[in-house]
Amino acid sequence: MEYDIIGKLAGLADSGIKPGVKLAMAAGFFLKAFAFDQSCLYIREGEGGGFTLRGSKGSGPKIKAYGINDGALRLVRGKAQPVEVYKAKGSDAVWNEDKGLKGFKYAVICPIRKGRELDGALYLKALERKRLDAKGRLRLKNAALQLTLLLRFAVAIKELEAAKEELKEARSALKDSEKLITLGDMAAALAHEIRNPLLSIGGFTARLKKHLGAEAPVGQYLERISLEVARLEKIMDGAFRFFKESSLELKPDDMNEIAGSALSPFEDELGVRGIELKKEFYGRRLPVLADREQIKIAFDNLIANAIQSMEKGGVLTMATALSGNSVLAKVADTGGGIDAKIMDKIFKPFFTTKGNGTGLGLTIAKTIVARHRGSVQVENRAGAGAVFTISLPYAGEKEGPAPPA
Amino acid sequence: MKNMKKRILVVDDEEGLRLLYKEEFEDEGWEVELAASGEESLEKLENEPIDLVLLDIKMPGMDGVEVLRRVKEKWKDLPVILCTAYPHYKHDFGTWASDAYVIKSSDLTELKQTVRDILGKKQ
Ligand SMILES: Nc1ncnc2c1ncn2[C@@H]1O[C@H](COP(=O)(O)OP(=O)(O)O)[C@@H](O)[C@H]1O
Ligand SMILES: [Mg+2]
Repeated sequence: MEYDIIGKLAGLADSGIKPGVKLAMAAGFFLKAFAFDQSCLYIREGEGGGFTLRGSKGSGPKIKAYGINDGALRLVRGKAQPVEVYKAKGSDAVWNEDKGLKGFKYAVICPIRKGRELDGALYLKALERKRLDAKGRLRLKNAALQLTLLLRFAVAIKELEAAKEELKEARSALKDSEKLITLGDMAAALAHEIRNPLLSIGGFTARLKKHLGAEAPVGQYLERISLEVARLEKIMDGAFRFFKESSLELKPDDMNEIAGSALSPFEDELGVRGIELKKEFYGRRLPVLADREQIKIAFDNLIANAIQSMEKGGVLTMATALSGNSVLAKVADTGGGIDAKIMDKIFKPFFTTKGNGTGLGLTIAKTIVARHRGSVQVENRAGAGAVFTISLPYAGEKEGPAPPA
Repeated sequence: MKNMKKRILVVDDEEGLRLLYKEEFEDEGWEVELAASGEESLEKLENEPIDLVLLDIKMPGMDGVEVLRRVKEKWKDLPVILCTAYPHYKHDFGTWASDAYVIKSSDLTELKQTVRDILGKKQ
């Protein structure tokens, strides 16, 4: 009974076997079905790339990769049918050029097509000169077609898998942002409750100081209480600035304008601190949907951190750009960067390395941007500086802005 | 009749804060009346001469915004300072009807100065 290669290949396509193993097994099936000595399966890597060996069976020389115009492979470029090649006496240029055919006398190259593009090729090589009859040819053609389907199926599954993964990530990001919002509401309520007792403690401490006089022995304790209360109040203010209960007011806006208006209150301070300001703004409007006051708070925090990192002066770069479907705004400093050991902590609430820091700046920036369906990324050039990038969805025309005139 | 001290009505549901404001403003030389709720504040206003109202916004029952509305309806020229722990109320109400808006802080310097500005002006 004839070896049922079509059935074998179909079964393989439908199996849960790993894609890499599937290809090696398919190569083996061909060897068995058509009585060749070696089979090699080449798959095209990406658009316009070369062909890489992805599965093989049998002995003899095997070429790891072919260029698009290399060896016998170029013979099947425009073809739908398998092409047979023989070792002709001394004259065949293709045969000599293709090192993978060395030592063999006969080969069939089957094209694997995706529409008009060559997507791969199957080499079947024999040590002896032979011929496929009409029936064998038809069978080989059909088997090659079945192999094409197997490959397409594998690619589709891979894409489906990737899409699923993406969806999962998007879902969990969405969940995170929702979680932050409800946490924010809770924090707002909590902060309000804490605020009045705090005011009371601070206020009465001040009265105690007044009654006892600055020279009193407990004066320094009272001073400490006042300082700590002031610090707690500062934290509450920071939290309040974005833990407000009202929702975002998204309006069409221009990222260049938002970034500019966030920067301007700092410009005098930069001069005083010996920090050079570089503005690299995108030459056109960068449409976004934003609550400008909120996004400005995010910028405030990034700029404040950059300034604080450059105590001995440096360069603050503010840049905006369009990248695919994202509008980017970067705040870069030359303040030495962030220690790799704390990189995964800097966005956590209350994490700070500063004596008088609140550790809320980056948490606030990230939350605000997340509520805009955007993200804050950090890129660290250890020893050089840090780059924080706010990314918001592009909110202009679908096809993107016209190229600059 | 030698000194007609100006009188402040402090409206806040927190007992600690009422006490604190009372002592601080008396130190400043003002007379201080206290009310623990919006309802009580309106009652006091009916029965006693008051020169300035210091009003907390967030209170159970009648809140500060409602008190402000009623005060301004009846005593158009009576100055009112709105006080709150929420900085963002400033955006929501502006200072459309109140004479000043102060964010609560344990540092009372700003609040005391605001009171001085308003009551000094009316002398
Ligand atoms: N531009 C920067 N350069 C170096 N370190 C930074 C920078 N921005 C943030 N960090 C680090 O991240 C920490 C958290 O920042 P943040 O949340 O703004 O709180 P805070 O500024 O109050 O410390 C900082 O204490 C600092 O260690
Ligand atoms: Mg900060």
